[in-house]
Amino acid sequence: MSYIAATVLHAIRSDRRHGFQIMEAAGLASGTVYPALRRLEKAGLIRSRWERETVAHSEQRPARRYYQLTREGEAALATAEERFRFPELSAVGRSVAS
Amino acid sequence: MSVRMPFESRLMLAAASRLVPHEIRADWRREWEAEVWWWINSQPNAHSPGARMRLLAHCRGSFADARCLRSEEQSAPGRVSAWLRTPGACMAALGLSLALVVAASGGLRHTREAFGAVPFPGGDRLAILSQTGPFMGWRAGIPTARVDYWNARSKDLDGIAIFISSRGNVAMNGWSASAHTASVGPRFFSVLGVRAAMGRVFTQEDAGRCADCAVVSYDLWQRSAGRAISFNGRSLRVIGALPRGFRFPDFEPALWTLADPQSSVLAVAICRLKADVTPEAAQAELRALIARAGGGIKGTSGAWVTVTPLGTLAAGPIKTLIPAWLGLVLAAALFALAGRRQGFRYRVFWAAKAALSLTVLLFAGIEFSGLLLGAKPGDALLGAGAFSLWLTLAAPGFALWWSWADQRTRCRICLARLAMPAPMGYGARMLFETSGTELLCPKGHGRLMVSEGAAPHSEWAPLDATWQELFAGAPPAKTGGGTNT
Repeated sequence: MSYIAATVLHAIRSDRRHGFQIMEAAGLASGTVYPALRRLEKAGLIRSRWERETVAHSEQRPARRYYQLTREGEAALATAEERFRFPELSAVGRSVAS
Repeated sequence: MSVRMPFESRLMLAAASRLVPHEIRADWRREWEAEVWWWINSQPNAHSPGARMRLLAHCRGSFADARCLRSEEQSAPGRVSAWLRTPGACMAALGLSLALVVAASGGLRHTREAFGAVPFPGGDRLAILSQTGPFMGWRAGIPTARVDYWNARSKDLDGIAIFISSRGNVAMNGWSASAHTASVGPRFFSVLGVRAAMGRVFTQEDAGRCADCAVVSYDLWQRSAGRAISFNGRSLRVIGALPRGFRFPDFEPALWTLADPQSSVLAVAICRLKADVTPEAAQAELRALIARAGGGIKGTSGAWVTVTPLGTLAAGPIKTLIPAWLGLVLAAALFALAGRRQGFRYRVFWAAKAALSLTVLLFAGIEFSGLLLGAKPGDALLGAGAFSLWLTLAAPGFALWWSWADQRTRCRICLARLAMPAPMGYGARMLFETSGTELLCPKGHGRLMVSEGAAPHSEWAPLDATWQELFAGAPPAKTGGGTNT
């Protein structure tokens, strides 16, 4: 597995659940993170779901698209962790995570 | 929720959304707008110019995202981008560069002339005189007083003449232009063996009596149609016109006048050897004449006068460079083919790329180095060595460095340029861990890890099956360990 893919999986498991949070926490550019999310979702390593509009409206913000690891994603990340040592994730992303 | 997105970012997202397949475009737009909302809310002063620029950079990623969704097979920009990464695109760019050099140089005119005969009658007996020892290949001209002294005494030469190139304003009634001109000694045309197409050229009898005389090029003669010509405001009397296309040494002055015999300028001196006299014999005679004159002749020591055949000077650097170029190409090919670390195709591609880039720079250097270095036309006869030094050292070095640097960032299997650079680790923090940049083959064949630190190196490894399936249509990668380069 690529280091980028593993870092994105690692960020999602660390409770960074939408694109901006992952980007901020992992220190990767938007042009890297979003395509990686598409590819990981296509490969079945993550899945996405939209936040309920009612929740978003009640908090006066747009609805977010959340990502989470699938069982295959967890397994792939466990394999990747044997090869890579991930840098500390920035606290910025987590502070705004729901 | 009512955070207003800057106009330029909204425009960028709208443009990128056109690349997204129609059925998922609304969802895609909704996600990006929500992400931008979060981005703006995370900034303390989100509408400052600096923050707007950062937001624009963030939104630029939407194009990569959109292209990813559309897939490269469907998108024209994606196809172009993918093609530009192929080895064929690299070779096509080098081929195009070579074609441009050939076209811009008039079909490699200097190179062709170097392999042709000197274009004057008995050209093999023409030689250039220079003084002082070559320093970095550069030679100095000859003082005009010394030329007169030799002309009066030499038994091995049929004549010596000086040539000084210049540029000035040539005017006729109702027309003026800045043009290349030349001042020459009265024997110049007879030494070269050139006759006038119209009228006559300078002769020895004109010395000191024809200061306002001029010989014009064929083109200027056609243009003047009998009108009076002036040079830098001084009226001239045209005594003749040269044959069409007459050039010396490699340019065509519009106007030729007699040089001031009292001038202290160091001039290009051309001489014609008598039959059966070698350049070495003529050189020995000239040095002996200077030694005999002692300090009576203005100039530096006569021991350094050199007689070099015109054909050797005009073609020498080029004829030297061609074998050197062949040697470099051969060395690149042997080095590439003898390597054991990568596949045969990978090594052949590197050799071909190095050879082609060396060829482009060789011919560009030969044809345009004079222009780059701001050389005057006469310098071609005196400074050819300096040009060849520049060509020999700098250009091949650059070509080999570039071809190797480009090769290192190519896939070891399909030769495409690697993509998606991603920083990995923190060099300053991780003492015993890897840090550097990871690059991926766009077809999913493998990844290249370029490490930083005290011993930078790169490691190529095929991608495993987990990542393979993410590259649609990519052939399976070979298994096995990574390789270091």
